[in-house]
Amino acid sequence: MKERGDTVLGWLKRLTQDNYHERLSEYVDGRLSATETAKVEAQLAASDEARTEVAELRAVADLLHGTPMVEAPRSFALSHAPLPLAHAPRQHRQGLRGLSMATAAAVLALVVVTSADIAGLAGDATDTPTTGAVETAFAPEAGDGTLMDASKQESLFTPAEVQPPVIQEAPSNDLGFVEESTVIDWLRLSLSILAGALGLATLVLFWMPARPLT
Amino acid sequence: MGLPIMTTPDYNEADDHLLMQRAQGGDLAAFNAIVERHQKHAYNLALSILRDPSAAEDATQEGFFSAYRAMGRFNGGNLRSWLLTIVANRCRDVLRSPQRKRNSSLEAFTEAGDPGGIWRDPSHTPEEAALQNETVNTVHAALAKLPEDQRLIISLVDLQGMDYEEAARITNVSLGTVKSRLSRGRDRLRTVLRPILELSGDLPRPDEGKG
Repeated sequence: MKERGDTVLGWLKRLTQDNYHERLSEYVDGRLSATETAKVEAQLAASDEARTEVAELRAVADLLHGTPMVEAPRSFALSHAPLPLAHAPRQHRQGLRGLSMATAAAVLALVVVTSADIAGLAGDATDTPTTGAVETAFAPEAGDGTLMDASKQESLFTPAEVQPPVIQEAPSNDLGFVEESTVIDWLRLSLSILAGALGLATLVLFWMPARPLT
Repeated sequence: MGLPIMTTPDYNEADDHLLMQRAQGGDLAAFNAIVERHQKHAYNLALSILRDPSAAEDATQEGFFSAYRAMGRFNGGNLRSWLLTIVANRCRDVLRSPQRKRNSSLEAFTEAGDPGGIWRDPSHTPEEAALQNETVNTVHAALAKLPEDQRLIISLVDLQGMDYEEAARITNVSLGTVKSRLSRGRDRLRTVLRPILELSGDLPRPDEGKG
């Protein structure tokens, strides 16, 4: 690794030297290929310094190989089978179970709300109010608060003006369909966030007990 | 097909994988046979990382407990490497632990004159034992002065006789890193141990010719 204040040339030189020492160390262990071994041996034939280094490295390696390992101070055999870690941290496991159930409940609620929205409430929202109600709600007034009779109404509307889109757009607000849909959207969003957060927490808690074993 | 019935001598003879297979089936004696077989390597590894006999003892024991719990995840390969990786991880946890106390280093331990006599070979005469003990103490004291990463690789390769690949697996570093740490560690030891190598006549004299 390049050190502070080190020139690029110096760093490259050190890198080459490191590589050279590594090669000699591997040579002592007999780990070089035939080609590399031949190269190192040519170097050894040409350099006293290289020969001394190899001799010293070999002496160190032999000394270390001959050094006995420390005896174990006692037997590490287990007197009993330890409890699996899955049973040991009870608090974690209980917390995990609770979180899993909460996640499942949130997902279930999300499914119910979404299904209801698609099957029921969405259907209501597209329902056309009964013709009578619309007629009553939008029957033009005669000016004195009473409703005009049908013959007069007919003369006030052209056929284009009584097309359903014009009549249906206004009451959708008046009848509260938009507000219901917004509430469901919010409910769905909240449940999605809740289920996501709980699911994530469950995963984290599930992963935690496994760490010490690795 | 069930596994064959085994007696204690059979456990001593059995191959690691057969023992592990039995241990995975709930045979504690088989697991303990594995422990007995590899505990010396495990303890030496822990000692080379922690440099504290007491902490190394605890870490080794905890490592074997962890290995027992995790053995369901062992799916072949080199069992010794797998066990030693667990012990090495346990030692790293100990090193990171804020409660770790460094009041009993191996350096201090060796300087105290090997109080437990753990390196002594009973087959040697008292004189030989004293000489061997001195050499061993010097080597371990020199090792204790190496940076931790170099000491660990030297311990695995040169003291425990593992190949580079196994050392790389246990320490979770690349083969290139193993080579580099081994080379640097040996280079430092070459300087520190030169006096005893010269005394023992293991070094060639400067006037010795090539070949």
